[in-house]
Amino acid sequence: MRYEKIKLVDENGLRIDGRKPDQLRPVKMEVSVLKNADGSAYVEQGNTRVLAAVYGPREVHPKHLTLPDRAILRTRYHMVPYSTDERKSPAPTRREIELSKVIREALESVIFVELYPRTTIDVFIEVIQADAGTRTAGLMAASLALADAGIPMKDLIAAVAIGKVDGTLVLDINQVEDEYGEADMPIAMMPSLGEIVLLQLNGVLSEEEFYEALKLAQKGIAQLYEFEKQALMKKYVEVKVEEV
Amino acid sequence: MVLQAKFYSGKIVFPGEKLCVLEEFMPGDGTFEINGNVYSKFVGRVLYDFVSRKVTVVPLKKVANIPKQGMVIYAVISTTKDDVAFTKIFGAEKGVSFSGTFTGILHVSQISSNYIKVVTDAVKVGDIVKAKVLTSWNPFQLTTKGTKLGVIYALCSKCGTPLIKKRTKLQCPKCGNVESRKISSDYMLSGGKRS
Repeated sequence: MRYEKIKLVDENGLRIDGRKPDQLRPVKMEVSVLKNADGSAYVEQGNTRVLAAVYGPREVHPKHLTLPDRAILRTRYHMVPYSTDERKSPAPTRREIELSKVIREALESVIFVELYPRTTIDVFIEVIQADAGTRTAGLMAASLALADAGIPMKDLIAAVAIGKVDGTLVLDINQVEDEYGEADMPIAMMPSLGEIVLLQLNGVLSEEEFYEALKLAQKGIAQLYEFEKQALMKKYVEVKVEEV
Repeated sequence: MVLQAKFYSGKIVFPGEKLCVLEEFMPGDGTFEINGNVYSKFVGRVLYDFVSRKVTVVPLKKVANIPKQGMVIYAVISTTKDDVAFTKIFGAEKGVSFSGTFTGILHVSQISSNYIKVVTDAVKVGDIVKAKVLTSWNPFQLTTKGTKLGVIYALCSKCGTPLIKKRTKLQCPKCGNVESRKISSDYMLSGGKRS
């Protein structure tokens, strides 16, 4: 059987799910969704759904991991078995371990970790439904959960994945575009400070394309940052209503 | 004034939001400075102090507490040795709670101002003690010296019923067993009164 390539961008320049190349998927963000965690958040980007919980600063166990001058940050990125179309083993895969590491490093650059020596801040990111862009959604959920936990931070983190499909650069790719596209580049930034905290690239982009992708990402990130602020604002406005 | 209109207090700000430049206001609590710009650390309300020229951000949700030096805390004795007792700090005065528990160490020399030979003469496993934190790092050194500090709740080591305070000793209301502890004046169950 001959392999037939799926057409990802049509004659009108619209994508497989009807979006324009520079259009985000519908976003939903909620803060403080879990009772037992110190901070939590839920992020939905199209069909990607992610839940994040933050605990701490709390005592480190096992104790030998303690650092005398700063808090340690432990991050777990995990996909639940029913998050994909084929059951995923609940054991952490090589991919999940790596993503936990890159997410931890991105968060480390944001948190004032030296304010809480000999403690730990634990971040748990659970992917409930995967449709590409889970690391970027996870990172946003984690940063919202940290802000909700009241942990001092330099900035919130907003992130998107840029893809190259059928020769065009597209914002916020979905599963199909990720599988059949030519490139996938997740970017995470501190939007107000303008610093990049995570950048990965899968596939090939030319130099011009790279800079163009970066510009496109910044556009998406600016929009997502507004959503994040709204989500945080909404929570505190609601709290105010309850008090009265 | 133009300046006052630009810097109005009470506005909700987000982490990383630029508050002012260093020349306008000095960074106070809840803020940080990079290249002469002052940013917020928390989701909170800004406070521009025009008198002392300082910006502060009051967080809307406070971070989980950590025991501090001088804090009066509540802890459960988890293990005892001859000269030291290990405790789990689970809360503090005025309803302060922590994220999980912290380990506290209570040395014999810090239990009472009187001489105590072994730890088990003054505290036993499972007792709830009110203690003061001596150090500012984990594991926290504790002291129960002072009338208000010491055991506030204990169980009979023979039958497990809560002990009742009778003068300077603790007595079991069920089996009559008398036990010695470093009792706090805030001990929860006192003799005579039945409730």
